[in-house]
Amino acid sequence: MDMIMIITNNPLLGDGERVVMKDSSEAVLMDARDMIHKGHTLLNHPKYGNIQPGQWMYRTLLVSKEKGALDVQSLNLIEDAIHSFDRSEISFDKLSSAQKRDYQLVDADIILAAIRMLCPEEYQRVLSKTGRG
Amino acid sequence: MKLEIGQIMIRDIQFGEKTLVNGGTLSVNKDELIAQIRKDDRIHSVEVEIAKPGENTRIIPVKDVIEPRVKVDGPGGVFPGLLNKVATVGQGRTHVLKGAAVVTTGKVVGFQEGIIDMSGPGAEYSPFSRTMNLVVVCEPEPGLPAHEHEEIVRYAGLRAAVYLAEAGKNITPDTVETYQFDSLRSMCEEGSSLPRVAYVYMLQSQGLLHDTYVYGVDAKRILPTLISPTEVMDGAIVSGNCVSACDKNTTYHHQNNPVIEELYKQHGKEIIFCGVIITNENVTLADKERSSNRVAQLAAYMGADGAVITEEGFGNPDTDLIMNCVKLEDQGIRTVLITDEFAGRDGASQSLADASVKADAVVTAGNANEMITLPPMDRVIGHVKSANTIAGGFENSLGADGEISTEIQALTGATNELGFNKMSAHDV
Repeated sequence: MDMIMIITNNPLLGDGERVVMKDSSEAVLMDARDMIHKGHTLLNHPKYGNIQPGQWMYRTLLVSKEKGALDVQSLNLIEDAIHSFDRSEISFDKLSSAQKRDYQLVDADIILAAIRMLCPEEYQRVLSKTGRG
Repeated sequence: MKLEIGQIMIRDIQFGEKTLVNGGTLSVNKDELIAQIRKDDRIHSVEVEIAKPGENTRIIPVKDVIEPRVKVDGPGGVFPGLLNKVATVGQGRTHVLKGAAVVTTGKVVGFQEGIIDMSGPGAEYSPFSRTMNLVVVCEPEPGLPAHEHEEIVRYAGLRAAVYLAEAGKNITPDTVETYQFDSLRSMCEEGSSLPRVAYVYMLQSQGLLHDTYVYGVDAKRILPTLISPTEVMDGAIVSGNCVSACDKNTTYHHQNNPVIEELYKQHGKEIIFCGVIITNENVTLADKERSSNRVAQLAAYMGADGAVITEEGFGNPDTDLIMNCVKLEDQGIRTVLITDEFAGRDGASQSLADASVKADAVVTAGNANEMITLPPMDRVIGHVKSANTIAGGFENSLGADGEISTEIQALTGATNELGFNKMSAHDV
C-alpha cells in the first residue's frame, strides 16, 4: 500500500505529482467519488477530525493509485460523507486568516499521521511542505 | 493486583498560605502552584482561578479536566510515562481529592473546545459544573506550533493536579474502596457459570488535538492491548483530545470510567468482568481493519461471552465502533455499544455515520445537535469569543450581552460516551 494519491483543498498539503488540488471540500468529495467509481480505493475515513460536516472547511482524501474492481466500502463511505455534507451551515468567508490557518493545521496533521502509516516516503515530502520537516 | 482508592471529600477550595486539606476544604498556595506549572520554560503566562458550583461563572474554552490523585503506596506515580516513570501502576493505594478538579483552558486553535457553566441551564449538562474547579489559564510563548501548545497545556494541567493531590497524601480518607484485578484464570474461576464480559475501550487517536496517551505512548501507534482497570484509575490513560467537547473523554473521565465501575459492581454477581481491551480510532481504513481484527482476537482469546464497547467522538470513529461490533459478534461475542448521536437539531437525521444489523444493543448518551441558550455570566474565565468558532457554535452564536446560542456539543461532557452523565433514551 505504498502508492497513494492525495485529493485536497488544503494549501498546506499542496503540489507534488501525487496531489490533486481542488478549490473546495465539496470538490474533494466529488473527485474522490469519481475515482472510486473508476476503481480506486479510499484509504482514509472521509469523516475524520470530529468536525461536523457543515464545518468541513478543508477535506483531504487519500486514494490508491492502483485501480481494481469497485470497492464497495469506499463507495459507501464517500456517499455517506457527500450526503452529510451541508456547506450552508457556516460561512467560511467570514473566518479570519488565523482561523483558516488553524483549520488547515489540524487537517494537515491528521492527514500526515495517516500518510505516515501508509506511505513513509510521501510523509517526508508533505512534512517538509508544512514547514515541520 | 489490588488497588485501594481512598476518597477525601472536598467541599470547598480557597487560596491560602499553605496547600493543605482541612475539614473538607482544599486550601491552595497560589504562588507555589504557579511555580509548579511554570516548570516548563515554554510558558509565557499562567493564571489560576477558582470556580465553584452555583457561581455566575463560565469557563471557555475548556481543554481538559483532571482529578487530583496521588499514590500513597505501591509502584510508580500517577500519569506514568508523562509525569512519572513508566512503572506499572494500579496497585497499592491511591488517594483522591474527590469533588475537586483541575480545569485547563487556553486557546490552542480557534475552534473545537468546550464550555463549563457553573450555574444556569448549561450547568445541567456538564458534570464539571458540580465540582470545585481550580482553573489554569495558561499561555505559551508566542510563535510556538499548535502541537507544542497542546502539549504545554496538557502538562500544565497534570502538574497542577499532581501538586494539589500531594495535600491528600497523609490525610485519612472519608471512604476506601478496594478494586481487585488478578489473572484471567483467577478472575474467571470465581463464577464459572456467569457470562464473561470484556470491556472494549476506544481511545481518540486521529492526530493533533485528537490524541490520547497510554503510559505516555500516542494511542494511534499502539496495537489494541490489555490493560488492568486499576491502571486506568492511576492515570495510565491521559487525554490530549481537545475536540468535540460533548463527547471527548477528559483525563477525569478516564480516571473515573463509569463502565469500569459498573463492571466491577456486577463482577461475581451477574457477570465475570474478564478484562479491558484498549483500542484506537485512527483515520486510515487499514488501521481500522487492523485494530478491529486485533480487538476481536483478544476478546476471543479471553473467552469473552459478551463485550461492552465505548466510543470517543463521532463520524470517523463510528466506523471503528461498528467494525468492532461486527467482528466481535462474528466470533459469537454479544455486544453492547455506548455512543452518542449527531441526529440533527430536530433529532430526525441518521444518528451515526455507520450502522449494522449486528449492532442490536445500543445505549445513547444523547443528541449532541440539540440546541441550548446559555445566559450571560458575570464572570468569564478564558476566551469568550471562542463561542463563535468552537464545535457546535456557529456564526453569531455569541450575543452582544454575552448570551450564547449553541448546540450542546459545545458543553464539556454533555453527551459523554462512557455514560458519565445523565442523558440517555429508551425504546417506547
